[in-house]
Amino acid sequence: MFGIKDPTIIVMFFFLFFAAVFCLVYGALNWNKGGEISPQELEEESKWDKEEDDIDSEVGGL
Amino acid sequence: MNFFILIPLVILYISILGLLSYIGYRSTRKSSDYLLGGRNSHPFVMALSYGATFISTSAIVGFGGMAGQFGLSLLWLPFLNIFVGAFIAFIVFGKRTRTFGLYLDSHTFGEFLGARVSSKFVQIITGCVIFLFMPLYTAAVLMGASRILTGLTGSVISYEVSIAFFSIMVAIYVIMGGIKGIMYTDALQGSLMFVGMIILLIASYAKLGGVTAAHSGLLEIADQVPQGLQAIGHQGWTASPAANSPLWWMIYSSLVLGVGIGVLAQPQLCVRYMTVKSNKELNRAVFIGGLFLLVTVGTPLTVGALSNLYFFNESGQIAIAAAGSSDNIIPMYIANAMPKWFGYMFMLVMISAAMSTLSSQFHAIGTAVSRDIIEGLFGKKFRAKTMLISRFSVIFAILVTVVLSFTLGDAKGELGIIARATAIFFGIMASGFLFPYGASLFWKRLTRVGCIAGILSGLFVVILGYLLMHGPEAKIFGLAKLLCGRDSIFPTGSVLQYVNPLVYAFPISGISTVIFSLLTKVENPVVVEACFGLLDKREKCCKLKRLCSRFSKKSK
Repeated sequence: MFGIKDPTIIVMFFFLFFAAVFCLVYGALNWNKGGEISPQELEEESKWDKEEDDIDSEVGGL
Repeated sequence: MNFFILIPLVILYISILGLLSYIGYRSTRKSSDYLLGGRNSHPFVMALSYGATFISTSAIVGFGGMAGQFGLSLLWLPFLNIFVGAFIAFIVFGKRTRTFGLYLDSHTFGEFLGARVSSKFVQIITGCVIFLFMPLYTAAVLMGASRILTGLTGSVISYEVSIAFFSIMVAIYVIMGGIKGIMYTDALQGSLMFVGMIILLIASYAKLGGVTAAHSGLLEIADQVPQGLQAIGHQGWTASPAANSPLWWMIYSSLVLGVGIGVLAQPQLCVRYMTVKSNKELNRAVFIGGLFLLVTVGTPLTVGALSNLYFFNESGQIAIAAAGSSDNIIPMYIANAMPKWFGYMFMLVMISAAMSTLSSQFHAIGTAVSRDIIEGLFGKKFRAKTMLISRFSVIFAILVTVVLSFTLGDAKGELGIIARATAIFFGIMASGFLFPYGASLFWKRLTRVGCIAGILSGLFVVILGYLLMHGPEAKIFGLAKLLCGRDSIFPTGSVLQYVNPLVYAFPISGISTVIFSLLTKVENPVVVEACFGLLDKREKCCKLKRLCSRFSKKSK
């Protein structure tokens, strides 16, 4: 394949390109993931959490 | 080379580096700016800086030359560089190092490891190892770079002048800009290296008639491999060395494994994870870093092997015979096979590759002294003067490196010192620090005693290995000859003397770390719980965030 006959060298080329493609795909899929959660977001989440609790307690009351 | 073109080009390039360094200097106000770039580096800058620091004249000229001698089997190294040096390093090690480092308020590799197990001793010993052994690697890169400059200018610029040129240039911008200046210049240098290597790869295959024709041609001249190399397992440049032969162990244990996994415990690279704001930047850095390493490591190794066919077609000699030594193969190939304009560009690529690595190495040595050794010994008395001490330490480290470069006196490159010194330093760091560092990130039961035992046992065995067991180095030190009349304490002709000490030092370090940790109690459970708790908290926050967005989408 491509003028190379040693199977281990052919496998090595596959591994090499697979590793690079893997990094590209991983980086692209997770491009926007893992960002720092801002204090505003945390506040919103806790507010949302509290509202959920309120709803739960109301539902529980019925 | 036409000096009327070369000199203005180099001056222009250096002026741009100076400007970037000055921008770094202007925004360096606090010690965290000097040490970690204020922890808000751009992922593009971080990834290119990591890559440019990792890839030096060692990879391009040293390992490229080795591939010229030993063939394409060395390409397992870029595979490990990409998979371990980019993916495992950024995602598996990097994310935890960044999270823990932020909590532990660590600024250096030694400070991180020391704070994780609450041990000043660990911090000091790490700083000492960096201070003692890194100049060997730094001197090798400096010698390699100087030799290229001398070689490509036809010795018009002497070896001594080249060393002075590189030392002064690197000193100016490390002392001025701290890591910000280094990372900005690294990003420019990394971009230049990337473009230069792509051109080199395409031009080389084109010159040899395409991919298949080049490989077939290389296969056809396999019988030209010198007898000496055939005797140690060389089977041609497109084939792997014979299994379990001396060459097999030399390539896979020293060059591929040593550098391939040793990268995870490189102090100048580990601090890069702590320079970014969040894990998002590390995800993005994987994208850039993987591609960068494929091109910048894969190209010189491929071209190194292919150069045999070029030299054989032109002069009837294989690369090592035409160039005289493995370190001269790539410079000679560029000078003869590539167009003149590429020679100028390659010169800038080489200056970039050397300076980006040297600057980070000097920065790591400087911070190891100021932060790890001085602060470890005398407490925070000198914290206000961290930057000043670092800068003085950098000057001292540069002086030591220059002295080493002259005393090692390997100006002719007969010993292939570039690749060898790189493998030695990577081997020492991996043997002593990789297991304790990995355990500090993934194992709550790691104790101070376990960490110290792992570091000391790994260092002891690897140093002993280089002094007495590993043939190529033991022969230089001559201690084995004194003790048993042979180059290595292993019998002459035994394959064991080609096994890199990392192969046995790393497991011994691991076993010591685990056994001593299990025999002792965790001294700082609060710190450990806080570090690992941060990961859980982050996970919970991310989960909550995902639920929120799913809920709001459903509501809409």
